[in-house]
Amino acid sequence: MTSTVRRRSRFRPAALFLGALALLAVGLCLCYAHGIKAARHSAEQAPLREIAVRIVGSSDLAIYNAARYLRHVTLTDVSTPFQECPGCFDYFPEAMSANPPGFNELSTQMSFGAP
Amino acid sequence: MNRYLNLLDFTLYSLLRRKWKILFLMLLFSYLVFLFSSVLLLTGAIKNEAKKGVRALPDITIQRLTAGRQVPIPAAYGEKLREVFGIAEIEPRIWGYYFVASTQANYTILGYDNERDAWKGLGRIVLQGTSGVSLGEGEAILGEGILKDRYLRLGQTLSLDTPSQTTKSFQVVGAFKGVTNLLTYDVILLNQRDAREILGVEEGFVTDFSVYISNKNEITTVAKKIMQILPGTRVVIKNQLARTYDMVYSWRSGFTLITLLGCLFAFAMMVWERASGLSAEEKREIGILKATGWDTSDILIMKSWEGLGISLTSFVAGLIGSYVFTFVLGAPLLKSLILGWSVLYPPFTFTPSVSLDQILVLLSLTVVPYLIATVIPSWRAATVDPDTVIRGV
Repeated sequence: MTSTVRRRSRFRPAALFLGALALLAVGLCLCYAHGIKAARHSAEQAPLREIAVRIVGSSDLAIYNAARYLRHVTLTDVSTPFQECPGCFDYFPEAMSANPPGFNELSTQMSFGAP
Repeated sequence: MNRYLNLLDFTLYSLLRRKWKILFLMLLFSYLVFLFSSVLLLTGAIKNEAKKGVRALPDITIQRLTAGRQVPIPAAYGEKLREVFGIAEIEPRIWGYYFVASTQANYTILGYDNERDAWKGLGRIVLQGTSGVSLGEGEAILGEGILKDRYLRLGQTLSLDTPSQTTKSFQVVGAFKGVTNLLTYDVILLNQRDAREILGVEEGFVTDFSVYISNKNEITTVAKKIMQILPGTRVVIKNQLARTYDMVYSWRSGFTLITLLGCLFAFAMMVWERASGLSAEEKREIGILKATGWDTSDILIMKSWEGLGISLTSFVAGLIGSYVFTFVLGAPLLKSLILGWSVLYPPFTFTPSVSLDQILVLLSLTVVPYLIATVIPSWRAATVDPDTVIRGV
């Protein structure tokens, strides 16, 4: 009986639970710090990005460039789907979840972090 | 304080008796939060990335339509635009696409005007080669993607075909810096005359006009005036462009979330099952506690601890997991669903973008229903006579 009481007082579940909560709170703080650091880095690059937008004339992201009609999603252009011939195979770019074969050993996947 | 800690101790001992069931429940809870928040975080980040440049966009873009299709617009329209009061700057632009069959990639070709003041900052975003930032005939500045696609380096020659099937060569005099990859990865900047030749835009015509307005409150008014003096044109204002990003990226996340709805329904069914009644064991436990002198409020506190302990820790664990998965590991698998693929994919890092409303929506969809499903049946059982509960009548 005494040993049970001792064991219970040593491993008080409330303390373990609050410890786990504290660990999660530390995890949240680390995520927050990571976010702040990344946002600061992004803010430093903002002027360069704005120059690029001014020169390119569009803020559309260069991630869909396998079809002319999708490269600039905010602007219409002279291209339309299936323009080579009616119903002919088109250069459709953005299949869901399936990747294309690699061209010229280029990466076809978005990579996060350093290239 | 000690009372609450003792109640917490008791709650946790009670949970430990059902540890495998509770562990499975917490894993399921965390996984659900992880799935939904990963989709929301990734979509939020890419929308945020696209919207970053909106401030620098032209206030109005003017295109010409013939038979419902966009066609080059006469450069003379620029003179008519000057008559509109409130316009600060008019920029005729020559741009278009160049398809490369061997790599199935589309390059974006832009005509560069050395005289344009707004473009003087080019030197800050370009790694210069053999000449300055002024772009002469036969010279080109390339995005990183094109350098890689064509195995080119500064000083080498890029060959492009004209619509008349002749080939024209350009010396690569600069490359866009990696920091602008998301905007310039597939861009070729040429002198305006060269861009005309490669794109086949005739003299006296331009692709479209970018217009900047002095007073930003008058953008809509000026746009209406332009539509009156230039019938047959499409006038696009900046706000419409910003809204497009919401639509383009939201449909993809919406599609992905729909496929995950099954998980949410399964979770809702589990919560419903709990809300509809406690197990016989749980009822007996409450009855015994009441018989040994516990108040209804003590039982409610205990059950609140139980609900909060399970749901909040699972929620936070799922949230942290999704953050690390999305912004540290790069959302493997999920990025294919949300972003698709392309031939020239720019390498870049997303800036984390977490909004409070996203977290609140997830919280209200998961933690709140679970808490209700834990406390309400316990309250029902705690208000019944202990003898009836223990006997299971």
